Amino acid sequence: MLASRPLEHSLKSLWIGIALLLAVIVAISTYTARPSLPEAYRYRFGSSGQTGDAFERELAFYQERIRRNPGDGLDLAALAGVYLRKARASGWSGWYLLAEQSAQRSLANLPFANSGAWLALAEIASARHDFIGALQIADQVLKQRNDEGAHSLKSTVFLAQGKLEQARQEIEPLIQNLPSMRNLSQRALIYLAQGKEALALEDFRRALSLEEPGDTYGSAWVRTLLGRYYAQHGQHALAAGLLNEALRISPQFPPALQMLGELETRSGNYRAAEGHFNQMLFRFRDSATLYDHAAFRGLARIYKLQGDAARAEKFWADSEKTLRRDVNSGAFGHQRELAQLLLERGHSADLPEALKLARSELDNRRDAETLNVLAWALLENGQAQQAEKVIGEALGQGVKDAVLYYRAGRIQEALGKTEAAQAFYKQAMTIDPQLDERARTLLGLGE
Amino acid sequence: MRHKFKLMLAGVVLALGGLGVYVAASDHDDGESDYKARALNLTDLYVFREKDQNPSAKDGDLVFVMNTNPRSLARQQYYFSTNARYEFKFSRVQDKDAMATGEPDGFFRFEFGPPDKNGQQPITITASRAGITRTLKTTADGKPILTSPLSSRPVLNNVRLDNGGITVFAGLREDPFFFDVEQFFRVRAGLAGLGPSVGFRSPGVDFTAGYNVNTIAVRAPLEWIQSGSIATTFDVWETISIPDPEKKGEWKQIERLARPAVNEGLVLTNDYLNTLNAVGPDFEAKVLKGDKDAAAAAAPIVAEVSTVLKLLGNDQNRINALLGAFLPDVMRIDITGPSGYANALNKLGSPIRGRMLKDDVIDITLQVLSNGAVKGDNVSYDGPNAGGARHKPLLSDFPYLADPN
Repeated sequence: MLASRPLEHSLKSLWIGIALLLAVIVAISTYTARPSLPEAYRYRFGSSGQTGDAFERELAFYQERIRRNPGDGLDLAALAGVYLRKARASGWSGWYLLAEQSAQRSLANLPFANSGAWLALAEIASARHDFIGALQIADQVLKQRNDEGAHSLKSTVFLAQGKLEQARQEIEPLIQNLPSMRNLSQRALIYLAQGKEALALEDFRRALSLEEPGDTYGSAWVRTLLGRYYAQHGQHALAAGLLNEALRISPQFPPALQMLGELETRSGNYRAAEGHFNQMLFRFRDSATLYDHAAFRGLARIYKLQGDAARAEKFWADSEKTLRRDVNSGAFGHQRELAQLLLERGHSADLPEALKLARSELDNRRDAETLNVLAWALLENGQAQQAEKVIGEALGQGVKDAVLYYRAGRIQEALGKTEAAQAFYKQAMTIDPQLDERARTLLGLGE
Repeated sequence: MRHKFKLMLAGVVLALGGLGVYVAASDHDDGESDYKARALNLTDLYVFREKDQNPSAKDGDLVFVMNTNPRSLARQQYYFSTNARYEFKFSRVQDKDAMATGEPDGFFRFEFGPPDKNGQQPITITASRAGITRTLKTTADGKPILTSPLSSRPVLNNVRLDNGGITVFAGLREDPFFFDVEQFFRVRAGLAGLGPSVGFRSPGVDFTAGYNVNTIAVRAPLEWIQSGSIATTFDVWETISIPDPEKKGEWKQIERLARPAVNEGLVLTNDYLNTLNAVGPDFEAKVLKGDKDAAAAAAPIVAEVSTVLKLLGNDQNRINALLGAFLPDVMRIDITGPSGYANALNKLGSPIRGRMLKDDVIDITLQVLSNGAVKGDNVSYDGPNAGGARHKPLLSDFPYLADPN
């Protein structure tokens, strides 16, 4: 007994040691298996000072200056810029309206040498999807001065319209002159739309390496874009890491909440997804934001996937109501989104209207996403041959989007070309290996 | 915006208005732009003998002030770029009448790290003269070199160099510049036929009152700048550079500034300004000396400047004289006399006494360009200005610029 005790003790120690070692190995491997973010945020979270209080102070500052010199224009243009920044960050449509009023008052007071006010109006036009109007204003500014802001805005508009080469030509000289987070991330988006993914990722990396401590909006925005890229390529953990970091930088940032909600839905984490969508809706409880329709749609999808048709219908209806209000008022053109909703909801009575909306939107922009919605509408309305042509145009732009390839497969299938359909499905799965049945249901690709 | 203002532009634009050439003369909007970080915008350069600002200061110290981050709002913390290099460059000049070479003999470089929980950024200083370069991260008593957060007293960093030491302040200050920008736009538009004919208001509106800037101020002993020479005249300019994404390990200069109103006063086209921002004043020196390559590269810029000056009513002789006086764009300071922008000119007609914080550079430039016809914009540092706007009193000690709003 006495002799066995030290042995027993030694064995016990050995087992404890092994257990500890295993625990350490597991911990290390778990840690190293975590997705490593391309560029971790270098600054302290929440240290930017860009809080609600700061915004209030900024408003008060300019309002006081305007009170002192009501006939001047530059302070009103600056105030319009403040409202616009708030609009971008929050999505509340009221900020756009306030920005517009300030910019117009500014121009009434100072009709010349006031490109700040003109560009505010151009950005508002772009937000309303009045791309022609936005380009006209930008060109008007450029006639007077080779303004970087006007070029940047034109690049954004051309990208939205699917005019990718024109978009690149507008941004390239700006990058040559000043490589900045904004310019580089804009070119990254153009590269993505052209399917040049390696170049896009390199630009995103460079963009993040140039981030500054005060630019929380930019830092959150670029991470959201990058998160979306990884989400669309089946790298969900990396995408979630980026999106969560975006939210740490800029809490309640609507695009990051939306993306994260969609990602959680795809992963079947419905409760978490619901939380993100509800957060989007409760930020401005009593007023509409540009993201409301997406939040309602996200909730509808969750209930659809859970088989709760009644609740899904309720949220589809909420989303539809929001979009129709926008479309009817002409305030923020959401024709494409309305068409998408009608198609996704799948009421046969809605299909002709969806097609009409998608066609109408095509007059405004021919980017891959709009073409995808039109192809979908054509397919659902029994016009598979035309759908084939339209999806071909979308794929021809170069974007590596699993949804587009899968849609092309569905169209081929409807045309009875099984082999071609399989080839498209395969390409879609190569781009996004996580495009499973749930994801396809979620993305309106059929169950 | 940069205050290196554009006064010269006034008449210019008027004259050009009829030709359909129109320039938004202001970088005042730069501060509101999302396309270029505020922290990467220079607004002003000041260089003066300290004893001219503060009679009780030690004789023989020079103060350099670089202002950045235009239109910084009151009670809001702004940071220096963590990606950029901010530099004062200087060259020693043996003869105050000599044309500037624009080739630096030394520099002070400032690089900033991420802010800590107090909003303070660590600073790395590199100082170079006579081939000796020293990089420092700590003060003479071994503490980190830090910026001053918004609501604290100025943090003065005493830094030991190879021979002697400098005092460095970096942080928010009230913008000391003053100008009725908006009325300038109206005057210009009226003269160009784009709006009603108006003059300057009296009193004028001080556009920059209430705004802050992010300041880097350096107090340096004359002996260190002289570096063993007997030079009493120096040319100074400031730059901002960022890493060149196309060439790993290299830096790309994106801003350059010296005298107020030179680059952006005489050059109207944004692309030309970008070109000048990317090179040193040595480029302008080469052009003036007739260097073939430089002259060819600068031909369209020189042509534009000459056109502007001609439209202002200057004949070719005067155009040449003005080019010689204002280019290369450096802030020359002859320390044998009191500092002040209009205190003395050299044989070339260049201002040679640096610039003090309250100098009315706009009025001076207006008078020079209009040959005395326009006296000024009726705005001053101490007021009275329209709406009761005024600047805070300057501090009695280094860094001298008033506390931030």
